[in-house]
Amino acid sequence: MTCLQYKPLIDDYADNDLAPELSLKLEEHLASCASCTIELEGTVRLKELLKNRVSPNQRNLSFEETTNLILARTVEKNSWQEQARQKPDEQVRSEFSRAILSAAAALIIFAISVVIGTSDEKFAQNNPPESPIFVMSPVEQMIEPNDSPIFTKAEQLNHIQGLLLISPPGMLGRLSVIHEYNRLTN
Amino acid sequence: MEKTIPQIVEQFLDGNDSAFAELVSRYQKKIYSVAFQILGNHLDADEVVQETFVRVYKKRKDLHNVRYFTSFILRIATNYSIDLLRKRKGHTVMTDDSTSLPGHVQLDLSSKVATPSDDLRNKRLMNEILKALELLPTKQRLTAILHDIEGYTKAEIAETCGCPEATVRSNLHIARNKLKKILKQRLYKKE
Repeated sequence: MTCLQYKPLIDDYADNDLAPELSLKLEEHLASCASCTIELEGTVRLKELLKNRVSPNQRNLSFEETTNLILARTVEKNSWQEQARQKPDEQVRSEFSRAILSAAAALIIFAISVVIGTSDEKFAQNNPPESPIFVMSPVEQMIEPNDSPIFTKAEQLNHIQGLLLISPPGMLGRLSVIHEYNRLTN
Repeated sequence: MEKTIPQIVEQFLDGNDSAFAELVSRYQKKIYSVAFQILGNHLDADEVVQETFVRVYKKRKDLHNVRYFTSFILRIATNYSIDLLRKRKGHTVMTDDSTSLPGHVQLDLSSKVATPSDDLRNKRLMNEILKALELLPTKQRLTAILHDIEGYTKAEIAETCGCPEATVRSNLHIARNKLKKILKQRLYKKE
């Protein structure tokens, strides 16, 4: 074997990775070859140099901090996601039942309002002539029975009609008053 | 009795989160060291450690097919380090000066440092080595770091890099020859 063939074995020899038979052959060659010996010395010195170079070290606290950060990004995040995944069923159920209840309550209120608001008798019961509530008062009470010195009866009715359109009695209140208005004008 | 890595990995696969914490505590220093050697700065090394374990956690289903956990995690860490290196090429300043490091991070010299002049000499030497390593192509540099600095075997490096052991030998041989040329004065100086 020549130097060219031995040189690739030098690395493995320096790493103690060379088969015993080849190691013996190389050692025999090294005894008589200065070039390969220098090559081996260089490899060994390089290995030592690299091995003894700076090895980064952190204080334990810093590694603890890193561990906490990693766990926060993995295990803890995963458990939050698990919780989030489990929650929706209960949440959906409670939200759905709440929505149903709200809708039912709104329907009941609407029905009661329509019944009360469109019933003349109940309206009269709830709104006696002396009632101070303007919006819920019958239209007859809002206007003068006859033409006043300033506005005629027709003008007063027009004013009330305008007020009904812009004032905020709400749909139900408006319905009830329109009902009265129509009754009066007819 | 201390648990072996395969046992811990098995527990981790069974959904035991404390096993994952155990893996983090066992491997983070190794990963940190490799990342530091590749990237040359502590902030990036920290990022590599975190990202590596996050990826391991996300890829835990793949662990069923993994023979050697060390190679698996090392592969993730080195791949991410190389990605960072490519991204930050031209922006990264290689440093071993502990005074320029953020707060709690410190460097320890593993060689026998006695006097301030020795310390200075060592720092110069470390800078020379860092610069020499920087001149190597990525694969050769990675092989030299993993084998000669971190002490991994050629088989482990082959598993990590996903290449035959012969390729590792060849990369290491070329890397060493280049380093010997670059550090010629340091290696062959008359004592």
